[in-house]
Amino acid sequence: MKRALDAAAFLARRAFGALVVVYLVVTATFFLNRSLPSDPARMIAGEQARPADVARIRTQLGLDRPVGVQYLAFLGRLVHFGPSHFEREKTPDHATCGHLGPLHFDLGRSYQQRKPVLVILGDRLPYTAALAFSATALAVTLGVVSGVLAALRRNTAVDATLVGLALLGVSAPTFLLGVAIQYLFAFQLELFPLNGAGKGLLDAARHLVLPTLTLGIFGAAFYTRLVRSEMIETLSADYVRTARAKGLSTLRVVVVHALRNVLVPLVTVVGLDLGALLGGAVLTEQIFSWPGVGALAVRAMRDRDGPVIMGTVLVSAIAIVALNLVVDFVYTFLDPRIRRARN
Amino acid sequence: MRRMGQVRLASAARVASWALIACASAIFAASFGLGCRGGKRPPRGRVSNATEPQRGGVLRFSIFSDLPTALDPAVSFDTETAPLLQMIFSGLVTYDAKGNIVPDLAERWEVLDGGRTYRFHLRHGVRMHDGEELVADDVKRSAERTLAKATGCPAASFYDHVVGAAAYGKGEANDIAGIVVESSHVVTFELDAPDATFLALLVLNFMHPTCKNAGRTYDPSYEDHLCGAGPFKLGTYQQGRFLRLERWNGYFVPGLPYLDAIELRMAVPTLTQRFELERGDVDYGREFARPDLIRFQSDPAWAPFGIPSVEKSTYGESLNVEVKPFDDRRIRQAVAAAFDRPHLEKFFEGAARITGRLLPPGVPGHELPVREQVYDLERARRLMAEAGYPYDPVTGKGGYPETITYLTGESEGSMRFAQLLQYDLAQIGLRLEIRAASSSLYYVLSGRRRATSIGYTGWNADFADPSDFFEPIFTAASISEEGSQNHAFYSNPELEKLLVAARAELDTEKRLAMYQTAEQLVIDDAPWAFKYNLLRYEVLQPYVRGYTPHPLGLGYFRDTWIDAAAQHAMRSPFSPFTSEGGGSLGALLHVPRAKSPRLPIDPLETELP
Repeated sequence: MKRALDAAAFLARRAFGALVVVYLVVTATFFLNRSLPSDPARMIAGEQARPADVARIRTQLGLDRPVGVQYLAFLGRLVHFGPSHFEREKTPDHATCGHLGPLHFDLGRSYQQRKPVLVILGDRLPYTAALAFSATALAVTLGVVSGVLAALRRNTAVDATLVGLALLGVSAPTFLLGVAIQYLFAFQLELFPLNGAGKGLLDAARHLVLPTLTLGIFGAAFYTRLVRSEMIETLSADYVRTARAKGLSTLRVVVVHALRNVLVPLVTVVGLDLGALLGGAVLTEQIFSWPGVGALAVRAMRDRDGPVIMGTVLVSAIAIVALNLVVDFVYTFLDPRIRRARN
Repeated sequence: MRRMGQVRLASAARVASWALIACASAIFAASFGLGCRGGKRPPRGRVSNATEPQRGGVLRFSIFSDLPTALDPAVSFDTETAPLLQMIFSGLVTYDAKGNIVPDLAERWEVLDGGRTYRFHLRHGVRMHDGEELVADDVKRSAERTLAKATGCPAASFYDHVVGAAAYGKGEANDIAGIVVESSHVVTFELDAPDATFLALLVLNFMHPTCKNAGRTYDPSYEDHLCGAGPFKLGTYQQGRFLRLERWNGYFVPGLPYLDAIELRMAVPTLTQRFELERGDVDYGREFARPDLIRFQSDPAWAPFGIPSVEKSTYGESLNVEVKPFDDRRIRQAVAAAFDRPHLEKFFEGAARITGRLLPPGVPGHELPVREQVYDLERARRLMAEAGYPYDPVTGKGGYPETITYLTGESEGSMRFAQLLQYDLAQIGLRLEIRAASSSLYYVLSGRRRATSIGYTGWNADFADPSDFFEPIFTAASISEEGSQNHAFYSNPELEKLLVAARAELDTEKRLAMYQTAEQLVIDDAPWAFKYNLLRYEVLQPYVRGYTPHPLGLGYFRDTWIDAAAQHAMRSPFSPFTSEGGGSLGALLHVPRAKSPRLPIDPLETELP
């Protein structure tokens, strides 16, 4: 019972800290965006719109009000209470809201697309999540397998080759790797679609392969180096020598004893990477026209689409903070020493 | 047993390691080997000489933009969405291929009261995409939807001179009094003042009739149900990703359009577009990176299928007449004469047309001669000396004593133009410091009064009328403290008088003569140093026929058709009409790409559903 209470208190402390971080990020982004010398009304109206039309749009969107007033209005709308059941068309005050019962969330309406930001993000997030999880899965699988192989075959040709490939993978910028993969597998070999997201689950999976490969290879290269160095260190530890001396098979020594310790630093890095990917993989999404949050964020920044900028930053901040929280909990399962220390 | 396990693991590790290495090597080798082959499957010429338009087929193309603005005739105001909307929504009048205004939904019109009243007689039997017949009420309702306060039309001020439109836009009236429905098929627009440009304003999407489901004001959900009287109706729209337009069989022009559908994919990088075009995944392309553009233009296999055209735009340098030293007309003229246009022409390598005047080709009035700004270094130095800043090119002494900040965009191309200008103006003693700004910052600085003395600028026709190249950028009314479109902050009473008279003049010949005089005034006063008109280059697959760049915008496919026999030959993996005489690995492993069956025009299909 005490352990459960301790865990709950720990969770509450971390969740509160996470909320504060998200709030600070959102506030900083809001003021940073407003302080940039740009005119969102001009960006909405178009570069050739007449000044009278630009002024009218500025007033209509409330962009002529003081920044403090705009901030309070934004914050007031971000989380507020409202009806548990409503029809968007008939309740203009809540037309852009998402809700959990009476708790409403509202990021407003995109200046450019004129749709609720929550709807836009809702369309894009599944694609970003699919790419982030598949790329991470590929990167971790490839990275762990090659890292362990390289460590086991240390100072051999296999090790040198794997380390060399990993170095190449880490050094290759995503835009180059992505274009090379697209050129080879889609354009030349025609094994996969050039770009897009496809229709239906199977088609979407085919379209997902190349962006996943691009991000996965980059991540795998990085994880290979990490796992190799950790594994080499672990394999020379006393407890591994003891396990070997007890006559355990290499497979058991590696998988059960050594790999578990290697996973602690790996989980930290994977957690952060996954959080960043959930905020959008900008270049990869653009190369493969993958309709994720990253491409949306870049576009919003270019057009000074304030509500969408706030939405994408919020998604990114929540993803990173939440993944950090998850990583913290995973530690306690992987390493009993951490669990004991926290208790 | 344990030893066996260890041995197995060791050999498995070895095998896995080498397999991994072998795979990686194969990929790199394949990539390198295939990469040396260069492009693939360029067309080898037309395989069918069909000249009669055929009905059928889906035309596919991609663009880099993700069409960030709403797809709605009331609020869309950009060059990407305009031709798409023109294919869904027809207007009362339109342009023919030569740029003349011709009847569209209106079979004829009358201009009354010396240009203050325009009366339109609608065609009978025009069906909108919901099956309803178009009537005059639809014209009035659609115009009111666009100009409603809640809609926020970015071009509402274009129509402020329609009687009652401004009051309606402010929410002070229930309808636009100046749009009068006289009968079911006659509608009249009454204006505050005579306006010879009014027909051109009606070609824009803003005034195109929408179906009743559009509602009284703009509603974002309407873009999923777009409904008009154009040649194509909306099939699917996924914002930022995909748009499919399908033939409207009830279109009022018999037999048109020919295509079954048009499919547009968005947010596709230009390099991928090149891949798609070469792979045959798309039928039309128009956005190319410089190396790819040169390849398509110079490759004998592709060159016959390229269509160059001049964009209705003019670019140059704006010289702020309110800021020193450009408040002196002689210095502005010196800049205009110092710019080495022949050098710029070489720099562009066919991507632009060099000019020394305001009106671009395709805009009425361009055909009339004017004395253009030309490169004349001696004259430029003489003008600098007359203005009190003589410059000695041998010693580098003299010239304007202060460094002038030049505002430009942050792209690589903008920076290179800036460096060319910097060099040219240094030859007459004007020393520039380049300031590159993001597009949003650029708009702020270039439109803020006295903030920028010289900067890169340009104007793209909103509609093909000479007035659009003067009134928004060279008049006192276009000057504001912030967000000014008149980047040179230039005004000239003589010019203003001419422009007012020209707008009211209904005789085209007299009107164009006025604009000729106006253009000469602007050229001589040099608020801009004119540089170039942008060229466009579109590439079609050999089986795409009937397409020409249309005054309504690039990618207007009403009259386009697909030669089925030629397409069939092109798509076959072992076609002799592909350069490599065979398909790719993908084509061998999978079935060849689907071929749409082509059918002759079926008269039944033109009947209403």
